[in-house]
Amino acid sequence: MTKLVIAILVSVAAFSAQAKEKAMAGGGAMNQDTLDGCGLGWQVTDSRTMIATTTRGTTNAFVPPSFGMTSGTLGCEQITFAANEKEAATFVASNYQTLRSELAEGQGEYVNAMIESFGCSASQAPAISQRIQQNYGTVVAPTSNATELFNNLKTEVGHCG
Amino acid sequence: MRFFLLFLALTWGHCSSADTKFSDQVLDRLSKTPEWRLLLHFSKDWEDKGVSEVDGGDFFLSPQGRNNPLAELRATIEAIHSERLLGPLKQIPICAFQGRYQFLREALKLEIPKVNCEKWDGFISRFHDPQRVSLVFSAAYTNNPASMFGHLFLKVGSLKESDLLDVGINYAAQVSPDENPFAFFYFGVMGGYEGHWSVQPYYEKLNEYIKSENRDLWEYELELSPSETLFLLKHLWELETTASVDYYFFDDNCAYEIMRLLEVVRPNWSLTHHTIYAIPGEMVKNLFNEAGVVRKVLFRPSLRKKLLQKYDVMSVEQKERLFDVISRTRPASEIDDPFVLTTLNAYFDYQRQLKKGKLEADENRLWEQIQVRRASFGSITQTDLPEISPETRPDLGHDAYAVDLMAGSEKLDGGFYGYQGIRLKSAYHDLLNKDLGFKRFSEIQFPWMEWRYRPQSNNWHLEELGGVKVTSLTPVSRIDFNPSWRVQLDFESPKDFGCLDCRAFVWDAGIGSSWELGTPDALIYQFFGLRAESDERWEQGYRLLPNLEAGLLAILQENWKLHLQATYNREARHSSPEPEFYKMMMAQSFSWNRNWELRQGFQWITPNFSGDTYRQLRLDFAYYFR
Repeated sequence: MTKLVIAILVSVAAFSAQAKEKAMAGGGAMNQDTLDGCGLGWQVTDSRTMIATTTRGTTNAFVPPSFGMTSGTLGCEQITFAANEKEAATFVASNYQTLRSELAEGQGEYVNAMIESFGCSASQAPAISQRIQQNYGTVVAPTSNATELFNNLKTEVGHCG
Repeated sequence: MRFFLLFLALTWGHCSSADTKFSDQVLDRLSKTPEWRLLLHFSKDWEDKGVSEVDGGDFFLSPQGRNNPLAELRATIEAIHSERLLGPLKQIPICAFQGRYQFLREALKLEIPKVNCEKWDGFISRFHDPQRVSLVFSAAYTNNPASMFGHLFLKVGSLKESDLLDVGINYAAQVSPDENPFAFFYFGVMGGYEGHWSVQPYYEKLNEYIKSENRDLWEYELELSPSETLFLLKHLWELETTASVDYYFFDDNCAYEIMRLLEVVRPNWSLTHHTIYAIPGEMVKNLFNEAGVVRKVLFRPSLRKKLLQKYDVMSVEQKERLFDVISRTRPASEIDDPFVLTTLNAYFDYQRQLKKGKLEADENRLWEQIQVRRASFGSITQTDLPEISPETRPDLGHDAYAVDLMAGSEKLDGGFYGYQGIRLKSAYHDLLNKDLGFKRFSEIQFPWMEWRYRPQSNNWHLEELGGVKVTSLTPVSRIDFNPSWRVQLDFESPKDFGCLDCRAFVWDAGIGSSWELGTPDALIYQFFGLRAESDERWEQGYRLLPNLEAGLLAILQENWKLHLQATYNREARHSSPEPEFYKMMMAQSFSWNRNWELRQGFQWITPNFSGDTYRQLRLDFAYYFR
């Protein structure tokens, strides 16, 4: 009888690990280790300053943490951007390493998405990515965090939006 | 659908103003339509007297709402001007119930007052003019026991070309991060947690699955129009901001709720069929129950597969250059071959994921040097890379459950003992199953049982009662090493001490490695294992069996698999002599039409101490279903 109980308990542990993973994946807490630099928990205010928080907010809608929550934040830096740059800043912050990697190749899915997040059209992506690749040594290589890369990219991508 | 159209015909011209009283007949008819019933999470069929699957919260405006779609319909109509605040966001009904009121606007020409619904507006603006919905399946990943059945979530597409900027929608149990596993299991199974929807940028979802867990993703784009996509989001909003739904690990989980959500938008789709457990990979198959549900299928291979895709086409020299850089014997600046640099770039991307996002400082520095050097070459014409096999696509695989009729013969001590029997298997996939639809050479087995009947003794007995068996075989590659491992927990019959019908509880775990034999279709593996068997027959009630195992798995043809295995066992005892015995097994399987299978196997077990070798020959004929 005890053996059966032990057997069940061990299976329980396996099952619970699985369900927990699903829950956490949904809640986003799993993301903490995989995000680059900044999470997505800032508030955009008129003074355009981003502050790391663990609550979510947008200028005109509050949603409870279980809904509209994206992920936890980790060491988010101070970064200044305009309200209409939020998507681009978020994207660069979350995908800093991948962008460095793809920009070195001069192409890639994340580069295309980054360019679109700045408001450019997808058709402009090849030209922009190649230009950044040519200037990799000044635009990408010297940056040591998402903030710096975002600012450099902002200049490089231009205002196509 | 017929009810709905008939209903529309009856009401056309009946409604003239917002204050119109609708006739009882009209409302009764409408309350019985699948559209209205599904919006309230009742079953489609109005003759089914069940209750709503929503457990509570502010989802029901009428006290009888949970049992009575007509009462809820009346209450919803009456609530047009209500100022009552609902749910955690404190919305008035016409702002909260976006889906219901849109439906009623169309069905009854109901005039809804124009109100500023700030929270809804803020929410929907995240979707940038939603266009389409995809169902996304992340593949099972044996190297993480928590990911064994895969996961389902949704992706809502916008007008942007890059789908990384789409929005991911996820359903999961809401649990505090420090919940202990046993409480979690108990509450998860018993519905002790609430299920909640969350949204996040799709690239974040990708980062979770492909990058941090190395899983393939399959995206099934659905035949939903932009207006249907919007309606889905409206219903999602009313559900999440007012309803309380309990999460049940086995059958009211992510897979089930996502399919229910899709059925609300398309009542004529039947997507929730399952047996006992709503397994994500099996639920995906419901998309193909009828034509016209799936628009297209997209495959996103894991980072590991993308790295191996490049590495495996490299020449010997290229590989040497690659490892020179990795081992720091050659700086990146000396590499003249941009393809080597591209592969190095992919290698560090993969390493970063393995290390959960954090590389050592000097690894980062090296990676940066590689990137700078790579950039200096500009664009390269990509070497022809072989396609990454789409074999993990879940809807192509055999079904989860099986009924297996078997016949066999055991030989021991000069006697032959024939048997027939039946084996019942629940999820999921074993080493002899055809791998199409699953991770190749993987095994995840959940409870099973085998009953045998011996004509000679005219009795049925329980031969095996299985708990769990998981085997993960990942071929070793110089660029990425993963150990292979196995665990097993069951109740079965060891045949090594001259007893045919003795049974014991078995715990087994092993660790080892696997190697491709020059082709991805054949694998050899070795394990060091420890097995514990418990039964009263043994002194102290158990015996410990450290063991060494080697095996071969080969896909001989598309539908034909071969498995050979030899195990050396030596009982750990304080006194000598220590009994030892060998087990050898040869088995093959033939599959056809996805769910039919024939297996044939031989087994030899030499005895411990003296005695006769045990031999078994067996034939299995199985049908899989879901």
